[in-house]
Amino acid sequence: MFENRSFDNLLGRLYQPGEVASFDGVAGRDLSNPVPERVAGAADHKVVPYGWPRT
Amino acid sequence: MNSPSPDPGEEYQHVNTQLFGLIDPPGNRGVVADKMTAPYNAPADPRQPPAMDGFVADYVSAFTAELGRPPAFEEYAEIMTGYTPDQVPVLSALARGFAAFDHWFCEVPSQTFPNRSFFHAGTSSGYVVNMSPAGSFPIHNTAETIFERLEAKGLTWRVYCDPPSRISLTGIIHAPRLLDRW
Repeated sequence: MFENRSFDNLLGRLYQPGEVASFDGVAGRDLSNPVPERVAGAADHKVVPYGWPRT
Repeated sequence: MNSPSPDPGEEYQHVNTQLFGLIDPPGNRGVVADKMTAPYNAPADPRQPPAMDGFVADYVSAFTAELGRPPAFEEYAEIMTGYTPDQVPVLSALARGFAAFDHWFCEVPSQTFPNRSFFHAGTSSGYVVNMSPAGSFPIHNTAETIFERLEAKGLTWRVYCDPPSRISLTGIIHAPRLLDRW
């Protein structure tokens, strides 16, 4: 549990844009990773956006 | 509070794919880290900027290797999810109350042992994963430690170890240097 989690996974939404002077988080940004070819779901999804629909 | 599950791949080979989006050679896809071969998913040009676009690709590969089947979309999409501050209140309170490093990079983009070795010795003796092949690390991690430098200047030092650990991990990682101090 919590082995090797990314900063964005655990603290990416710690602050909203403008809440503090400087914070390189994920809120307010359009972030995604491509879905590799030939994997399940590739026909319907070109990318997985940060946050996905889970929250 | 267990997402993504299983854990993301953490070895150097996996992190290369996560940072650069490469699986090279193709036979490294869907196999455990120990079975991967050179160049271990690293780009041919070491100056290639990491696009951070391979987290999904690597998670599909790591999931397949660990569970013996490829993941469904809903399973691998978990790698792109993140917690809200409300979901991790203690961690978020600590991060808000103290300093949060949003541009921190570990010395070796990989596992525990090489990074702890850098912390104590400024090097990991060239090793980039914990203990593979068996015996490489920490058996041959001969780098001088900060503890010996302290000693050389007449200063004392001590490494504390709490139960349930019976042996100091610091001692194990630097066994060639510190074994006789256990």
